[in-house]
Amino acid sequence: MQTERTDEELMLAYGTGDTGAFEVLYSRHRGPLFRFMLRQAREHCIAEELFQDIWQRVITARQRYRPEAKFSTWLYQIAHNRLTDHWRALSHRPPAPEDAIERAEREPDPQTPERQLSTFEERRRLQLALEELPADQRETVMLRLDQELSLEEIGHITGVGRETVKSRLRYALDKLRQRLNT
Amino acid sequence: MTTPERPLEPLSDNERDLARISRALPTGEPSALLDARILKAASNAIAGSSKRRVRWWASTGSAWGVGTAAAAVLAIGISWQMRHSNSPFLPTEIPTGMSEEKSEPSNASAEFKQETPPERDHAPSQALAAKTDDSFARDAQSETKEVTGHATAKTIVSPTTARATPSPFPEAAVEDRPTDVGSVEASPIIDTDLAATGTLGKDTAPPAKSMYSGASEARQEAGKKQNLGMAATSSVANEPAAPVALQSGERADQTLRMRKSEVAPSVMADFGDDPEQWVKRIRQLQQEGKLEEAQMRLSEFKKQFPDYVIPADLIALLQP
Repeated sequence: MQTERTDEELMLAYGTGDTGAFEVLYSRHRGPLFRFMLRQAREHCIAEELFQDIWQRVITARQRYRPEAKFSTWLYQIAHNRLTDHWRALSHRPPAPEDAIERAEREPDPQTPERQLSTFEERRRLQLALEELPADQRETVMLRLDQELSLEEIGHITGVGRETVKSRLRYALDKLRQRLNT
Repeated sequence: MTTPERPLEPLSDNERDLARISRALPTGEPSALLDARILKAASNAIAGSSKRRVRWWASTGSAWGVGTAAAAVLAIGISWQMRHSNSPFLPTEIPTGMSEEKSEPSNASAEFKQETPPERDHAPSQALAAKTDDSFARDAQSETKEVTGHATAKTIVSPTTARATPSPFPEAAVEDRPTDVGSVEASPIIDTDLAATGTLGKDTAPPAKSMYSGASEARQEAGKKQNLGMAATSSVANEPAAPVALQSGERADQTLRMRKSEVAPSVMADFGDDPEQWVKRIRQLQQEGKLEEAQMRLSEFKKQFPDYVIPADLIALLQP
């Protein structure tokens, strides 16, 4: 039984010219990364633009890649930097659009219809709570909840220490829980 | 989806619950068009890099060829320049006439001594200055050769002759060059000096230094000695005339001509060149009671004929 290649092995293979390795790698991370960008950028088109830029940077840096850290850490570090550039270019983070919930609901929902009513309210509240979080806390909590990254890995991605990540995560989780319970 | 590795820090219960809700949120997926674009970019990057490698190798040949040719041309040019420039001092920088000078392995002082006699009959002129320039150049060459050991004239001459090129000697010739004193057409400066101090060499000694600045010490010493010797022979009333050592015939003639220049032409015409005639005339003046004139003529006689023993009857005139 052939063991599945790790992300690092796939990236190194792509650096030597194996385009198939990149396809596997892309299929593994396209979804979580896009969701992450969507949560941060709020606009689907902006999320797609940032998403494409991130992968272009991965392609460009394929020969310089060194497996000193996890590939996911490296990938989300690029995403974080791209988001930072995006916010800097905008000079400020745009406020949440008034129809943010409706926009989010237009996205395909994999859940069964039987649970849509109960879960709808949960998701709506969580969505609003996430919108109200500061950008750094939101980014931290999304990396933690969606990617299940460790605090140290999140610190590598966002460029802060572990304690700062821990603090941000604690504040974010408290707000989310508070919002859900109201 | 991600790496097969387990997370280092598993989610807490609270985090797991929120993660469940978060994953239930409308997640959204990248469109198929976006997926195709990204995958195409990845494959194009691989194909493009291999093409660039081929292109780079293909261009290096021509690039190397151009670079090699440029380096070769540069090297040829540099070697040609070095071959045609023999010394740091280009010939054009050396004044005309001096560049052709060849270094002579001669003593500087001896050269100087040989230099002076030919100049005694000539008035300070540009020709004299030029000739002296040549002699100076030769002196400079010998001096530099002594110092550096180089034998090439061009190398030696350049720094010093550049200074001498504007011919400082015309000024020096007029004012202080000892050799000019012997000329008949003496400059008024010399006459004035004689009248004032009576010591020619004294006044010429300092300027001689500037004249020979940069020359060897031997040459300077030789010049000083000459000046001092001349000063000794040309001293007037204040200093007793010390008998000058007999010199060579040429030197004696030079001295004689120098003395003649100190006496007024009318006196020379009256007394002539014969020392006996001088003595006779001085006695005549003494007998006529013209003591002052007799004393004057006697002092002039001493200058003219320093080797002539003054008769006893005229010695009294020497005393004040």
